Amino acid sequence: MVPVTLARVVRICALLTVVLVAAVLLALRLGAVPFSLTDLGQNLWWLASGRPERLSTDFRLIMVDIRLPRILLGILVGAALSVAGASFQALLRNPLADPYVLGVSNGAALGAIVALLIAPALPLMTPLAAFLGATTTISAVYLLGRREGQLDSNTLLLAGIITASFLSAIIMFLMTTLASRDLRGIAFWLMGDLSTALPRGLLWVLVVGFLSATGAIYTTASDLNLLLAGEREAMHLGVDVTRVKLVVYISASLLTGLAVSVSGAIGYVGLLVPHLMRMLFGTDYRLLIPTSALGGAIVLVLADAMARTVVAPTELPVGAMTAMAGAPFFIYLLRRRLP
Amino acid sequence: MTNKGKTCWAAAGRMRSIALSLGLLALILALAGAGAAAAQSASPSANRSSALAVTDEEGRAVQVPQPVRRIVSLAPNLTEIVFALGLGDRLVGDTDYCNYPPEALKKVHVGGPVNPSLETIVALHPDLVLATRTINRLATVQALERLGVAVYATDPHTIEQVLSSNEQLGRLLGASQQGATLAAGLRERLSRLQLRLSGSQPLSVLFITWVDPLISVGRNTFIADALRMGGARSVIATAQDWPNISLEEVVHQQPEYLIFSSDQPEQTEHQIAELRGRAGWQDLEALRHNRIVILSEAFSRPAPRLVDTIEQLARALHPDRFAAAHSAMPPFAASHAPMLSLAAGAL
Repeated sequence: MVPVTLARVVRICALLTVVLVAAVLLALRLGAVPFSLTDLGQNLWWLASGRPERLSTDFRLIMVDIRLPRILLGILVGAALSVAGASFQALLRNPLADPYVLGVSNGAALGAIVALLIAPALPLMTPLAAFLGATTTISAVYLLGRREGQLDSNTLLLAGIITASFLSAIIMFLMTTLASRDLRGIAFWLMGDLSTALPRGLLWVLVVGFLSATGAIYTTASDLNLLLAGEREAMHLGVDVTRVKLVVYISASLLTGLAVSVSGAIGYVGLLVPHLMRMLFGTDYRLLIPTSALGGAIVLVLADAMARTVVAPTELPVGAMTAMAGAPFFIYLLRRRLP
Repeated sequence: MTNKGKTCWAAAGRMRSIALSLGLLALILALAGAGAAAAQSASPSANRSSALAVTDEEGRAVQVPQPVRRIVSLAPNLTEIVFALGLGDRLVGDTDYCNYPPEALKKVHVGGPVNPSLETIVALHPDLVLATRTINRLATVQALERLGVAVYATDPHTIEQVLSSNEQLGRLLGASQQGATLAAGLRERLSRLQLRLSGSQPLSVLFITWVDPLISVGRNTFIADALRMGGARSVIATAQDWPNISLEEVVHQQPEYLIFSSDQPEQTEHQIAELRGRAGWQDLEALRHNRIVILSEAFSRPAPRLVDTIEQLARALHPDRFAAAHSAMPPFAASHAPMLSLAAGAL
């Protein structure tokens, strides 16, 4: 296997960044309202060179106020979900772990819904409640997935699936019994949705949260490599297993909570992307975390561009797009693991 | 990897990740800054001479620019109201489901009411977007608001609120006179209907919003009120607006009539034929004796045509009340006839 060197990480990340920029440009081009390439290029140049006063009104309204923030949101959510997926996979030593499959997304969704029902006016309540929902769920799944003191891969997966369906049942119960203010909104949001322009302040919370949580996970990258061989082995090699697990748990739950609170339960990104990156660039977490972040951003930006355009002007929930691609991939991984 | 190498790598990695974060941060800052600057220079309503400050039916404060020249409607009933006010030419966009009047089909569609394209709406440069709480998402309304588009949302729960909503929209859109005349005419027809029905017992009915799963209407919906005005009483009286109900409860209540509202009556008849073969449904007296009324989709739209369908319902349920006045002609004019089947001697 090619050794992971700093130069290699930088090279691969640069390559993926180029792909991401191309995906962003493509996503900017696609949409319900068409813009010609020359129009797009000209206006983008004005925007980049700090002359926004020259922008056409339509470009300003549609590109700057709607499409671009939405793409930025897609980048952040995709990156957050992928890094969370990669982290859970190491933490639980299970390649099929993903915030959605493990029920963590549903836990975050439940938290967010409770917050929406109790205090719809407080903006920061929703991400916070989603974070609490995510941490509680992952703890429960972790405890349920242990057998005789050891994490068992299959038990864990089943525990996640059962927890997910239990949580969806609670969500359904809340949605049918409480005369909710915005039932349709919640139903649509549950399927995963990037369509609603967020307040700019919330985008900042997301950026800061993403950078700090990913940074925290990255500091444990070498330890995660060792942890993959087994907790006892890692401990013998001098890894502070308790600290690493705590840091990664909290950070990955934070990432999931943030992503779910702004975009609902978008499935399979956290599963699909880290695996693709492993296939392409190897399993070393020092490389896997940054490539997963970039890969997740690329995948979600493209998936959302498709969700916007397939039946335009009507919008598909982006979660439907990712599930359509991700579920067959999950089956493939599951089959491949069998002897 | 040696220990030394590892430390080295970690230090370099930390530096690189910091550099990466800073780079990303700078990029996002630049874009957000540019966006903010652009937003400031935009201020779409700055050159407006005046704006009407109102509170909409969801309780949101809205500045409606005056005059309103370009309207986007996000629900079929609002599209109907705009046309009924004689302002069809100012409607620049509506939804995929806006099918009445036929001119509505020719407008630019902004998508479905639940998931419209914000881009398409904004590109139409509307002075005012009309939304309705039961159909549109709050998230859509809030997003448009943030984009500087004025949104007025209606939320009628009674027939009187449907009518006053009409009047209010007339005022906002610069057609107060038409709005007032329209509402007065509809009120007059409804009071005549009440006079005609006075003294007759309301019949118990089940209004079927959806068959699978079975969804009816709660007591605080305009449909429940429309049923009351049409001489009916819903057997379902939940506080929830669109309750999932159990067939057992319906069989227990044995409503005298089943009421459907559909834009495709043939399909609904097929569905009813299919229901006759189902366990549970077979035990419904109303279904066994064919006491079913199929009203047009206008009955589930809080718009002026609702009053037509209330009259149709009253005629279907209480034909004796109309017999004297219309003895010379069949009780239903062809164009407005509800698809209905009445068992002989059902009343």
